[in-house]
Amino acid sequence: MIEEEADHRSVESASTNRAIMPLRELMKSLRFERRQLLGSSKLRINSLQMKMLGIALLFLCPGMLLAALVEWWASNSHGEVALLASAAICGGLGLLLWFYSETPSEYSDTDFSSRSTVFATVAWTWLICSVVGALPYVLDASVFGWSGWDNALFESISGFSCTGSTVLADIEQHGRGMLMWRQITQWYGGMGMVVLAVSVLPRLRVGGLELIGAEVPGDSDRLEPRVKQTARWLWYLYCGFTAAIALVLFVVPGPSLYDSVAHAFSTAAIGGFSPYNSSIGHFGSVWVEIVIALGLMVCAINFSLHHRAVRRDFSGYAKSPDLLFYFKALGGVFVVTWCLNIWWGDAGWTISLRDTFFSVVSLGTSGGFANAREGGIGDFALWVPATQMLLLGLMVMGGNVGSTSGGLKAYRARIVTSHIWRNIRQTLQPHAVIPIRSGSDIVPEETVRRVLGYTTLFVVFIAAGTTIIAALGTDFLTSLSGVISAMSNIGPALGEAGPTANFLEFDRPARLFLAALMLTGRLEIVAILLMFAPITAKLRRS
Amino acid sequence: MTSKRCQNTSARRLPPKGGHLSLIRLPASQRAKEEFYRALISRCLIFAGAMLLLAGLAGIADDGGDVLVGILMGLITCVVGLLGSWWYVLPSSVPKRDVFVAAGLLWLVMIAVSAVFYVLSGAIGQVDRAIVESVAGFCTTGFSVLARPEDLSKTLLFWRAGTQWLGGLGAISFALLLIPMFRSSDDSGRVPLNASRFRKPNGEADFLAFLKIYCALSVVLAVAYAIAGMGIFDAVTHSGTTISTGGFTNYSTGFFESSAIQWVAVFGMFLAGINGALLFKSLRGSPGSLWRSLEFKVYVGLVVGASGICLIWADVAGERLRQVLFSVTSAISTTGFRLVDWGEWSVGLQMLILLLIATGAMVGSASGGFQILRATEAAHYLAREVRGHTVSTTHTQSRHDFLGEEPLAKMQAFQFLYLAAVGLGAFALACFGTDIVTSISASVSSLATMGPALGDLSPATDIWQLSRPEQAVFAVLMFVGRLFVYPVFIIFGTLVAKIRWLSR
Repeated sequence: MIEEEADHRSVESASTNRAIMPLRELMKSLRFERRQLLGSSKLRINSLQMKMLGIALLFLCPGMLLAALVEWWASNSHGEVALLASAAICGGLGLLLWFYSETPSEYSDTDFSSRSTVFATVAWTWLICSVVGALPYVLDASVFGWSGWDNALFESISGFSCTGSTVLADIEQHGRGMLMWRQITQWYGGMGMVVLAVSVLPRLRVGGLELIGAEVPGDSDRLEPRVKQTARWLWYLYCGFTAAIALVLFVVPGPSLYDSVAHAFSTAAIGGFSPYNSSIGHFGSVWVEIVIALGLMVCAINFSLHHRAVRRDFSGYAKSPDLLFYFKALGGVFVVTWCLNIWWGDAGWTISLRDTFFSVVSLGTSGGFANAREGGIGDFALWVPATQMLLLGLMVMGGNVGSTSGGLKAYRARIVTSHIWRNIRQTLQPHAVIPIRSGSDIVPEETVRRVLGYTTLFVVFIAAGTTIIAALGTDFLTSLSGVISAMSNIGPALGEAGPTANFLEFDRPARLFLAALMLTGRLEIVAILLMFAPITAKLRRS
Repeated sequence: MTSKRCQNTSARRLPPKGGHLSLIRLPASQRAKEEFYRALISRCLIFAGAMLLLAGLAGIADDGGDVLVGILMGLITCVVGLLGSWWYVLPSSVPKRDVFVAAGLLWLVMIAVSAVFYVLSGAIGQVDRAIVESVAGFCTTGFSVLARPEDLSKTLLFWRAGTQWLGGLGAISFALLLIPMFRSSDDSGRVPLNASRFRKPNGEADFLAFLKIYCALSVVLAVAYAIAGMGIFDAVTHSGTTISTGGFTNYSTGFFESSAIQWVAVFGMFLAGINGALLFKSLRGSPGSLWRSLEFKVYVGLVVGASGICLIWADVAGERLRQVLFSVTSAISTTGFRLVDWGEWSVGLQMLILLLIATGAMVGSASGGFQILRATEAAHYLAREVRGHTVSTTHTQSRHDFLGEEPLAKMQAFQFLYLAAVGLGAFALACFGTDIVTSISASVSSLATMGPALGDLSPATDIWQLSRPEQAVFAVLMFVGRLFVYPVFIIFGTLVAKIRWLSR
């Protein structure tokens, strides 16, 4: 069996050798150089990580090309050159990394055996993809240009992290291709580039599931026995949802093909970008709002439940305690908010129903679409304080684990609540042993501890972030909601940076800091904290 | 065989030794519990009665009607308390949850006594406002429903300060009683009372000895205030509200005018934020114990660091060091004295002040908030959790495992309960139309038993400007905060259990 594999590999490598001999020669010489320089030192960066990054960058290329095509077709501006140039840079870089890293046969088992390496790889892949993704904005002087590099980076990170906060003052004046690229970044970020890379990496003996786990929010389930299959299934489902949403949007309510596809990208990713200034409010159609709200809710459900549904096992939805908790919270907040809006607001109950439902779903799934328009109450930054408090709570909670949504996740919120009740009950009954249950299973104490730790970290980040943003000169409510919005990858905030405003309200350093928080929130904090851990460890060892 | 049976039956007659799953159903334990409540409350009523008598005597020169009311009420309270403490015996140890319930009841009784006094003396006409003022007093919060306290007689002013002094004493005793609960994996679930001996982290402290030190510190502070230029009456009342981290003053504006008085106040507030047990130990011949405590170092660090940041910050550079230190110590010790209106500072500094309020001072002091020991333990815990991700195995050795996993889990529960309480309080305030900044900051501040917050409740304002329902929300929040959040939920849980049992 092993021999067979080895044969296969040698044949494969021989054929590739023949195809790209000159390049390989170049690479060999380069590698020689590298060995001279770094090979013997402990600073040599793991090659498999490079390969992973290369694949991720290569995957960005088709997106850029598609955007360039749209830009050229729509011909309302001339961003296609910038998009093509970035595609070339991105592709070149990706190819270079792909070939520069060592061949699969030399993979060592220890590449991803350390968890800090896994986290650091994911974090660096995301950061570099975001930087490369900002290239089109920088190269096109009419968008940001080189002088607006920080804005470009913000927009790109906001895209990849599926946040949806924007620093474009007037979105609609930009080329349609460039706007499509914004949507596409969200789509890539939704399921994640690393999952994509794992699905095609030739072989990964160790650490594959950890890689997915570091990227997909929450504790990832193994959908299939093989990690590669798991990653592929996640992407199949994701593509399926995107296509379905695009189709329904196009067929039922009637936006153009461009609008349907663009919004399908950001809906399936639970991102929140829209090519229009007034977001979903641009359409003014209740059907578009319903389709998008339903799309958001479906994509905020754990994908492993969807996977089971594909296998015709629909019981998962009914039995999942997290899902029940999530929809209870969402429904509860919706009903209370609706009542408060009727009580305090001027709008009638139907308009309140429509706008409250959309806003609650949009914020509760960490989407961040807005439907502010004339005669409606979609601008939740103007709602009464009590409703805004509830919205803040929902924003912190976010969606479900294993979905494309952000935030703390319903699963963690449920465990924290159970833990509190357990402690109260234990004080009343000191000898009682009360396990926390997930359906009929008992959640291990180790997991409970991890969840509590993560939640504490999340709260600490929000408090510290709010202080820093406030220190940079933003008012309290805008700082707090802006930080929650960034950490939970939502998009709009309350106060000054509401759904009809943009994040230009924040100062430049504050914007960069928020962008960092978006990545932190998307990768669930730990990855960002451990970004430099392998490097410092290596330095310490050497 | 026979003797064994005898033992069994005699054991059944004795009060139960452990926390029982069905304590409510046992009439014997029910009786024991109620006896404990009555014994505790009647002992504390003596203090309240003495304080009322003192208040009456303090204003005897004024010759007002409230003097008579004060002395009469003081006598009645004293007699009731003495009778009760003669009749009811304090047990040697009680289940933990009974201590929680007793503390809640005790505070309620005290608040009721105080509110009756306010209403009878005619100081505050409306019952609800009298209750809010009493809650602010016994919960050592710097809120007042009185727009002009200087219009009150000396009796009432003394009683206001006295409520805070008593509240602070109660809070410290309660905290010292409960610290072992949060810190060790004491599985018996019982709190030893041992005839007024209180347990603390590093040994045993006699409650009466502690009371002496509390009184001595108050006297020292009063003398210091007097030397700094206050009148005797003001010095005594203000030392009472300083040492208990209370925050009531006898004047509506411009009281801490002289710089010497401000320095004394800064010193007093800082002192009030120190762990009572540590202070006790360091004053009883081991001064090094204060410096050996990590918590104390962090406390000093926070005060110095926050003052430094405030001073360096451009737009407060105009403020003097003294004023900044005053605001910082007032915030971190959750006293709530107002000198500078930080509502006019930049938002970052306001946020810093809010964080200081939320953190609070050391465990075992009269200050409220999350408290530094818990914060440092949470920080250690987080560091361990993050470090746990760097290695493949999930089980990691902790350098700070002195706490043990179970108290850690309890602390985590407390932390999230605290957050939940802040959230609920802010939502309740927002329901009355308060803006979000004010709701959140005031919820944090009143849970920390501080007082002034941000937004519409910055130090330039007070709750007498708010509507009466909002004041009621504040009263609930202050009560929950003073009992350190957890017990209130325990009481709530007990009530739910009782209702369930009754409806069965």
